[in-house]
Amino acid sequence: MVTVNVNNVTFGYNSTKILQDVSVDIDKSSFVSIVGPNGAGKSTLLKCVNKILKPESGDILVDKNNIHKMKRMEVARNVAYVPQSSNRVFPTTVFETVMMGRRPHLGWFSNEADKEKVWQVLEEMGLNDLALRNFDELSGGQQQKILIARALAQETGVILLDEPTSNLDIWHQLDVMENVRGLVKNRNVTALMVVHDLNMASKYSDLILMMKNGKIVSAGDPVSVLTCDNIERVYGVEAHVHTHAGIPYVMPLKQVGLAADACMMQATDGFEA
Amino acid sequence: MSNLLKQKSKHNVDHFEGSGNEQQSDIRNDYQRYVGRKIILITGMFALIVFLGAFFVTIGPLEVSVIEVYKILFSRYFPDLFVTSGLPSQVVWNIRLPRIVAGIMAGFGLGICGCVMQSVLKNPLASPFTLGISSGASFGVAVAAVLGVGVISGPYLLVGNAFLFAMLCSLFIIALASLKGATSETLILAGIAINYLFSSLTDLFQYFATDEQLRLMVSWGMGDLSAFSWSNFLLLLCVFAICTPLLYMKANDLNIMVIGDENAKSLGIDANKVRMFCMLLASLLIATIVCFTGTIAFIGLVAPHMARMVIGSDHKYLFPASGLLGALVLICADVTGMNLIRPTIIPTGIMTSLLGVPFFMYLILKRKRKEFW
Repeated sequence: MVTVNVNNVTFGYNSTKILQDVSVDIDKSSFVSIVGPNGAGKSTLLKCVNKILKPESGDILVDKNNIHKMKRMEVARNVAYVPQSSNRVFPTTVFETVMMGRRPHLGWFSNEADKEKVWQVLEEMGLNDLALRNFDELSGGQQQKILIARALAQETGVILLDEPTSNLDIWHQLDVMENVRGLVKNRNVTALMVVHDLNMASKYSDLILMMKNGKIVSAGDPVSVLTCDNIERVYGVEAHVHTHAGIPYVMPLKQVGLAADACMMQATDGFEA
Repeated sequence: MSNLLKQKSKHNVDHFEGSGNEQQSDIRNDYQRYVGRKIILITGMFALIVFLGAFFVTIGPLEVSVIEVYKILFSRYFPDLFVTSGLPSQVVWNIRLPRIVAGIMAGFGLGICGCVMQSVLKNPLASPFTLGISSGASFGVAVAAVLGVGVISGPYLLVGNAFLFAMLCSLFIIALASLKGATSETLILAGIAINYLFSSLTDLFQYFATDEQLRLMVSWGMGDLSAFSWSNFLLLLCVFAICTPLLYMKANDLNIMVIGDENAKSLGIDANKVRMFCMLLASLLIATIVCFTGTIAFIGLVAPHMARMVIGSDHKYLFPASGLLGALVLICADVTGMNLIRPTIIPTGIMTSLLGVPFFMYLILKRKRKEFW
């Protein structure tokens, strides 16, 4: 598996600090979930790892290489990013969408080998029937799967996913999570996923990072992170945690404090869609 | 009942497994056909332009027989074999043919630049004139017409001024955007603002202009291919030879630009750099065209949409198709304008909109589902 090391990363928009001195080493566990309230800096951390955003200070190493010394194209050969389903102005077909994942490996134009790669990925994910359909016409679940296929075509060691299960029904939520787990197991990919559903994170993750106000407040396996105490402290919600077959499940009961972003009193809305 | 359901679903599974392999090759065949269709369409458009060009050269206010026209054309290269007379030769060689060549080049340039601008600005309403090029050029012409001053004097006074101010406009916006961060919204807003500024300045000049000067400005603003002659041909060809391949090499990046800057970055594309690069080249190409032809506004907006309807969004095919459709619409409109009420020639810009808009409306109404657009 590919290691990801985040060392003392600080990031801010103007004077507002979104990430404060965040450090984490991912070198043993492959399925990593980032959880936390809105505005905690989860997506920002993801974007820093992908060099979409540039931190004010600190280093990010992917496979022991500093990404800020790499060209963007080189980063794209090592780290793939699965956005929340995106609306486009102009429609593209599924095949064209997945083909975009080959861009970091191409010269100016795609060749037959790249097309073959795209077909393989589509077949592997059971999407080949949709190849000529328009991305926009498909359901949210299918779109998310296609964006994962695009990341797969990118052939990277690390895949970042930004809330891939929001807006999906529970069947498709499980489908996405199973797909990602399949990648982690079969392709030895390191997956870093921002996710709001604590139970999904709990069921699938090897490691959970819990963030609040730009800091990682708790990190570890699901049992050690998803405790009543942590949830009350981070979310301001009293919850019952029930363990079933070794996996903790969270049942929220009631609010016991202000929302995390209200505590912060800073305009962080919109930075994390 | 439940037994029946089970049997039915089992049957379905069997059927699915049995056809799995076939389905796989089926979809690949479909894809091959889909790509093949695009290549055939583009080849067809190209052939149609050549055919129509060859046909349009034979029609015009002056009656010249088809055989005579081709005798004139061939006599340029084989003067010993074909003998031609004075006036028809003049008309065919110096009026009709350059007009058709200019129409093809201007239409092609407007089409591809429109396609590039819509993609880098991620906006279906963008056109080659979004960065204020046409209003800049009009202002340049107004300055030349009223004050008689320009960068180059003599016959190229108007053309030189139009080019200079067109380039100034777009360079100003590109520079502004590169200083303040070039999101597509910034660029479009700045372009609209500049458009208003230069339109007002042009209006100001028109307010003080004499009838003669006013006529010059207005007729230029309508867009006309008649100002083009063989002496401009080489210059235009050079600019095309530089800009077109450089823009086409970005076809893959343009595909990715459409899905948003962050997505583009995650795929290794520096969205801002690509946007600047493409806009700069498109501006150069468009300014060169506009300074000879005036503003022919409709083509650059609509040719890319027409192309998208018939050929899809992959820029590898969309880019040439936009250009070819632009050329096709422009030469058809121009030949109609030339022959509709002989001997009066209706300016190209007017005719393009008069003919192009109904055709475009037809395409919008005709398409069955939201397929490509």
